[in-house]
Amino acid sequence: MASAPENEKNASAPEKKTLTLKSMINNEEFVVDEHVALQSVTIKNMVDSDCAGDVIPVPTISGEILALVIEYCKNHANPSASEDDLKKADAGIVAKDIYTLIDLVLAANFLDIKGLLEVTSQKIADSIKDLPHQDVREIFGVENDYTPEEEAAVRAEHDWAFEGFP
Amino acid sequence: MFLRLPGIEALNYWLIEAPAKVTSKQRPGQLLSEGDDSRDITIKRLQAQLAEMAQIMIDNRLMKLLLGISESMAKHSSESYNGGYMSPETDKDTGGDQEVEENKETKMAKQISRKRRILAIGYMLSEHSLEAEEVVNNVDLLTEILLCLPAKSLLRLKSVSKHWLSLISDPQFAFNHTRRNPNSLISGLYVYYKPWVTNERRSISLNGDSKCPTLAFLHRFGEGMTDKLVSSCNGLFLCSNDRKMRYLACNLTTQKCTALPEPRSRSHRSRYHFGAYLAFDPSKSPHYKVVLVSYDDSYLVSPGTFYDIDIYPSKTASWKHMRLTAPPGVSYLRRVFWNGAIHWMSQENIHIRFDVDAENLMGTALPSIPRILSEKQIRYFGECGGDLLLIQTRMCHAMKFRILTMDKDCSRWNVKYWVNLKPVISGILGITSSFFSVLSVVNGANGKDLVLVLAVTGNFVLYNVDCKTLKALPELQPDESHEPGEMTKNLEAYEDVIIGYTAYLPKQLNVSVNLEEFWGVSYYFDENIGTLGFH
Repeated sequence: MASAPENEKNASAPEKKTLTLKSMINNEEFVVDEHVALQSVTIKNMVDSDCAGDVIPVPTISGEILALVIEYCKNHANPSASEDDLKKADAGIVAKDIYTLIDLVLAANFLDIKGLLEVTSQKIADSIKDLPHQDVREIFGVENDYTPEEEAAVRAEHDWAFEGFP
Repeated sequence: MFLRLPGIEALNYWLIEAPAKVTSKQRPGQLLSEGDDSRDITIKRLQAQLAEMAQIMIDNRLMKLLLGISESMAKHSSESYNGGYMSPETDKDTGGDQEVEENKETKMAKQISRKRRILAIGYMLSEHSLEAEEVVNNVDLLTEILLCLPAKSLLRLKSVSKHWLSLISDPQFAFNHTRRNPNSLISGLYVYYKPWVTNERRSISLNGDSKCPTLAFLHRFGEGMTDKLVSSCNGLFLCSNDRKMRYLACNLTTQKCTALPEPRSRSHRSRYHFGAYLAFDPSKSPHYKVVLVSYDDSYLVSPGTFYDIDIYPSKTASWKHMRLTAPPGVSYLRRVFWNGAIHWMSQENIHIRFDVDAENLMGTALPSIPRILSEKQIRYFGECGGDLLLIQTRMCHAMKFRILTMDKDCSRWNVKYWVNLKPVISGILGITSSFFSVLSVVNGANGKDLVLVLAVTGNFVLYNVDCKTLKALPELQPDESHEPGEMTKNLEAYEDVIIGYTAYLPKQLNVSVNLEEFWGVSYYFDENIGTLGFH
C-alpha cells in the first residue's frame, strides 16, 4: 500500500487515488484505483520512487492482456473476497489458450505480481503436462540441440515416462 | 515531409488496431506518433485495410491471408506509406517534390511491399514463438513453469533440449519441486504375488491409464542386492538381499540407486522383530535416513530388553549404532514412518515411537478404548495424507470395520470412519462375505477422499470411503524385472500372501541429496502386509 505522503507528492494528478495504465502496444488506457495497481511491485516501485506520472506506460503488454492483469488485481484487492471466490475468479482469468497464457505470464513477470505469476505458470504447466515433448518444443520455439543418439539416450533413461507418447 | 507523418500515423494505427502482439523486436518506442497530422481519405482507407488485416490475423492466424492483405495494403499504402521506420533510406525520397515522389512511388512500391511483407511474415511466423521464446530464455520464468509440472512430465521434457535437461536435472530444482508439491498422490502399488511359489513382483496402477515403472533397473546391482523391497517412504524405497545385510536406496521415478555400506554393527543379524525402515520427509530435508530396528529380549546378555537401532543418515553416509531400553510389552512387527518417527505398538496397549532426528525412544500408554487387538487382527497400519491409520477386525471375514487415526501427540486413537463393505461388495462382486486384505490406503484424486486399495477374491478394487463407491482395477501387470511365471487367475487375497507392496507417486519429485546425485524419488512401500505372511 502506498503511504499517504506519496500520494501528496503526486498531487499534480487530478485524482489522487487512481492511476492510469497505458498499454504502449495499442495505446489502450485503463484507469484503476491506486491500491489495485500497487499489487504490481513494478508499479509500486515506480510510485514509491516518484517516477510515476499521470499515466504509467506499460511497454510490451497489449491492452487485452493488461485488462486481464487488472481484473486479477481488482479481485485480489477486494478485502471481502473469500479464498474460494478468488480461486474461481483466478481460474476464469487463466482459462485461455496457451499463447494468451504465455503473454499473461510475461506480463505478470514484468509487472512483478507474484500471485498472478503463480496461477498462470500453473495453468501453462497444466496445458503442457500431457503433451509430447516435441509439441512443447514447438510451442516454445526451442531448438532441438540433441543429436539423435543423445536424444535416444536421455529418453532411454526415463523410458517409463514415455509410455503412450511418440 | 507531408507524407512522412501520415505514414507513421498509419503504422501507429495499425498497432492500435492490432492487439495481435507487437513484439519487443519492433522497438515500440520508435512507433510512437510524433505529432498531429491531417487525415486524408487515403489514410482512412489505409487504416481500414490495416484494421481488417489485423482482424484477420487475429481471427485466423493465417499466413496466406496475411500475405494477400499485406500486398493489397502495400498497394494502397504505396501512395502515402513511407517506411520511416522500416526503410529509413526512403526518407530522402519523400523529402523531395510531390511529383517526383509520385514517379518514384511506383518503383518503390514493390520494394516497400517486399519489405513490409518480410516484416509481416516474420511477425506471423514467430508470433507465437517470440513471446514463448522470451519465456524460455528467461530462466527464472521457465523454472517457475517447470516447477508446476508433475514429475513424470518433467522426465519427458528432459528430451526437449540440453538446456531443459540441465534445468530439470539440477538437484536444487528437484528439491524446490519437492517442496512445492508436498502432497502427492500414490498412483501405483507393487505387490509380491504368491511369494512362496514364484516370488513374482506385480504392479497395480491406480490411475488405470498408465503402467507403473518397471523395476528392471535394479538388475544392474545383481540378484543378491535386490531380492526384496523392504521399505518405502515418500517416494524412496529400500531393497535388501535375503540376509538383510546390504541395502540399496532407490528412487523409482528417476530410477537411480545408491548402495549403502554394510552396517558395522552385527547386532541385528539374528534378532527378534527385526525391520529396516526409511525415514524421509522431503518437506523438511532433502536427506533420508535408513533405520534398522531389532528387539533384543535375551536376558542372558543383559537384564532387560533393548532395541538395537542402527541409523544411516544419507548426509553423513555412515552407520551409527545405539542400544535403547525398550518400553514394556512384546512389540508388534508392523512399523511405519510417520511424522518424523517410526511408530509401532505393543501388546500392552503401549504406543512406541522412535524419533529419528532426536534419536530417542518413547512409549505412551494408550487409553483402553479403543482397544488395540492382536497383531493378527490388524488389517492395516500405515500413513495416508498426513494421518496415521489403523484398521483392525476381530473376525477375519468381517466386512464392517472402523478406521482409526492417531492424535498428533500420539496419545490416543480416534474413530474417523465406520466402513461397511458388505452392500457395495455384494452389489458389484456378487459375494456377501469374503476375506479381503487392505493393500494400502491412499488419497483419492481430489486429494482428500480416503480410498482403500483392497484385494477381494482375486479382484483388486478401490473403495472410496467418503463417497462409498467401489471401482475395480485392471489385472496385475507382471513386473518386467521378474521372469513372468504362470499367471494365476484366481488370486485369493491375503492367504496367498501378498507380501509387500510399493507405490509410487509420480506427482511428486522427492529429492534426496547424498554422495550420488539422487533426486526425484517417488514411491512408497510397506512391508507390513508381508510380515503378516510370516505368522
